[in-house]
Amino acid sequence: MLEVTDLKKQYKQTKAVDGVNLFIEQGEIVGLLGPNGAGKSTTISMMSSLIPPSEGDVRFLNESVIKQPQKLREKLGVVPQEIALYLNLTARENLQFFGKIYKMDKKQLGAKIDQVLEIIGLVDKQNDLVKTFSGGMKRRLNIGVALLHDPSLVFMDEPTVGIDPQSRNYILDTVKRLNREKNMTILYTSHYMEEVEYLCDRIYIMDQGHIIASGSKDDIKNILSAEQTFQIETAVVKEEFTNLLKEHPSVRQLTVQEKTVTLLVPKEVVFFQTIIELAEQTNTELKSVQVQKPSLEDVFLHLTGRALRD
Amino acid sequence: MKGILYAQLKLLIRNPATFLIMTGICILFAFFIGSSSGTYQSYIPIYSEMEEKETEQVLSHLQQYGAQNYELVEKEVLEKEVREGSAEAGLFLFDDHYEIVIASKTGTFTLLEQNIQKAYGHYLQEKQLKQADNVNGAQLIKQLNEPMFTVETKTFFGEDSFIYDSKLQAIFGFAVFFVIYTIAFNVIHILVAKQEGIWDRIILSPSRKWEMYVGILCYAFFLGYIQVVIVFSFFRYALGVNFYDGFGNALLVLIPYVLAIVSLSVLIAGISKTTQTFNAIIPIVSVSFAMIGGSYWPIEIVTSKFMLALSKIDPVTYVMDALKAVTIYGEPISGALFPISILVLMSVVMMGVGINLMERRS
Ligand SMILES: Nc1ncnc2c1ncn2[C@@H]1O[C@H](COP(=O)(O)OP(=O)(O)OP(=O)(O)O)[C@@H](O)[C@H]1O
Ligand SMILES: [Mg+2]
Repeated sequence: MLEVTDLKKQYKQTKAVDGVNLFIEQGEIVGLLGPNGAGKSTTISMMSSLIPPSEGDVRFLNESVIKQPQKLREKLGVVPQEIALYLNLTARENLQFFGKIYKMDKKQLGAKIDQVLEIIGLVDKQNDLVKTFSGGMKRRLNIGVALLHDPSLVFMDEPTVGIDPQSRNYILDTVKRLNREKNMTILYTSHYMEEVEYLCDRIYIMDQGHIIASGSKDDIKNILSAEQTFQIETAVVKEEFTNLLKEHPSVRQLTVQEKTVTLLVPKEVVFFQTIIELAEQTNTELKSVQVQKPSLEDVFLHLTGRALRD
Repeated sequence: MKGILYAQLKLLIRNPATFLIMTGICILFAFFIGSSSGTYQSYIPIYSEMEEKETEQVLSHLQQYGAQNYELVEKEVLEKEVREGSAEAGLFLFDDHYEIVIASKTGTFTLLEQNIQKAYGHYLQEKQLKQADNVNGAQLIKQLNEPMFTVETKTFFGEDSFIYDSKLQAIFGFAVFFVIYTIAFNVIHILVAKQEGIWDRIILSPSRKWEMYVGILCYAFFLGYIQVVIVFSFFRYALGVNFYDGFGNALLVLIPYVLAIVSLSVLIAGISKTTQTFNAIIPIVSVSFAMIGGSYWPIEIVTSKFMLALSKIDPVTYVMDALKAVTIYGEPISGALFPISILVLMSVVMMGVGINLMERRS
């Protein structure tokens, strides 16, 4: 649906974006993850035809967006990182304003506004001035404005920055719902691992203008480790049980600590079932079995030597 | 464009105080400052060398025209009163001509002169008609075609006196000064929209950029124009201030000025990067333009070459010129063509440069 090739943006001193390649398929939620100043917003601005790239191309449905932005703009909704609303107008008036800017039909607009207010959960607050809104409510309206003209592709630039967990969950669920129910294609930018992990099918990790890793969640985690870790809690650790595990060809490493057994197993092996079978054989009472996967946070640390957030 | 007008109107309705207070303060200032100086019920002392009966005839004609308060006095009294300013002007009546003596040309001078001319003319005509039996017709016609009397105007301050109407000076001055704020604080919405990211959303929409510019600027223009019309109309209709039959033309003259101020605001918006800078520059520009352009005091009393040179690039100078021309000096609109053209030229240039600056930055 959308393809970015070798995108670069050079400001006077900084290379904000330096050779980014990425693509988005119809119906996906794609995450763009990176620390402050990674170049996420600059990339999104170029992708949405707001600023011209220094080099590279953005193609939407196989047509260059840089030369011919109209087609993309019709289908695209952008949720900017900064709240872009009239604070002295009400929520409804803001939607009215942007609807008119989008030259929407008067009758349709009324119904559409009701629908959007429903989606973002601001029906009760629609006639309040935006400046009286909480951070979370402003964020939701900021998203709502981008949904007015029924876009099929939406770019969201850190839509949950600086808000309470409740609003954040609401927004995350809304994003997921839009994707599922309306088949909206979404590019979601964040520096929160857990958000991207929860929402996205595929992820791009960006740092200092470069994409440093990309792929599905598992692909990325595989970068860090080819193994998975099992933590088995038992009522009593029987030697029989641990011996059988040790002898199993897939087990790379085994440690016992009080009543917990920790195993390292290659990623591709499905080992859950084996543990249960061995426990039954040896009459070991299992309290719990946990698979620990490395987090994206660990991946970022591994790739850059820096934490994602300071 | 409909969208932006919708937003601007909503914002005005939500917060009409700024506009109303600006208009109100403008009227108050113009009212108090305009009436604190200068006499309004003008008193005209008269010294006559005509016969008593004829003097009374002229006087009765004079009282017929205009609201001046006339009184017969001794020659010395008249001169003293005019010199000291307790009388706006003095009138000498002679058998074959009259003389008006003034200290300075005030606003009502033209009116006074007209009235005296009419009254004296009326009197002479009557006199001739009475004598007509004794004179043959041809002679009468000849006499009527030739000026029967001479008019002399003397001033104690020499030739370069100007007409000063303190009321109109205050109304014009404050109206053109305050409207700068009203316009600027609407043009600033371009900067606000850019700063708040609203402009980016507009760029991505089917609305075109020029629609936004036109929308915001038209709105600023109309609000500014409505304000000056309200102020002028208030003085004209509620207080009955004399615009010397030039009220309509004065309103016309304001159009290129309001346009020039819209352009000026665009230029300043183009120069200032942020709304904060814009907000800091506007008062400086408006106050100095008002001072230099003769909105606080008449430019005619300014003698500094430097200030006068500065006033040449100031739209306020030209609108004050044009306004005075079509009112106090009784000129038709064509008499103000020069300042009007300059204002139009300024509008075009400042608008062009301003929009260019704004577009270049983004
Ligand atoms: N208009 C600009 N002029 C100069 N430098 C800029 C400009 N915009 C961005 N930059 C620089 O480009 C780099 C990338 O900025 P960008 O806003 O794209 O990062 P980001 O990943 O969105 O960060 P954040 O998470 O803080 O939003 C930064 O170093 C920034 O200072
Ligand atoms: Mg950003």
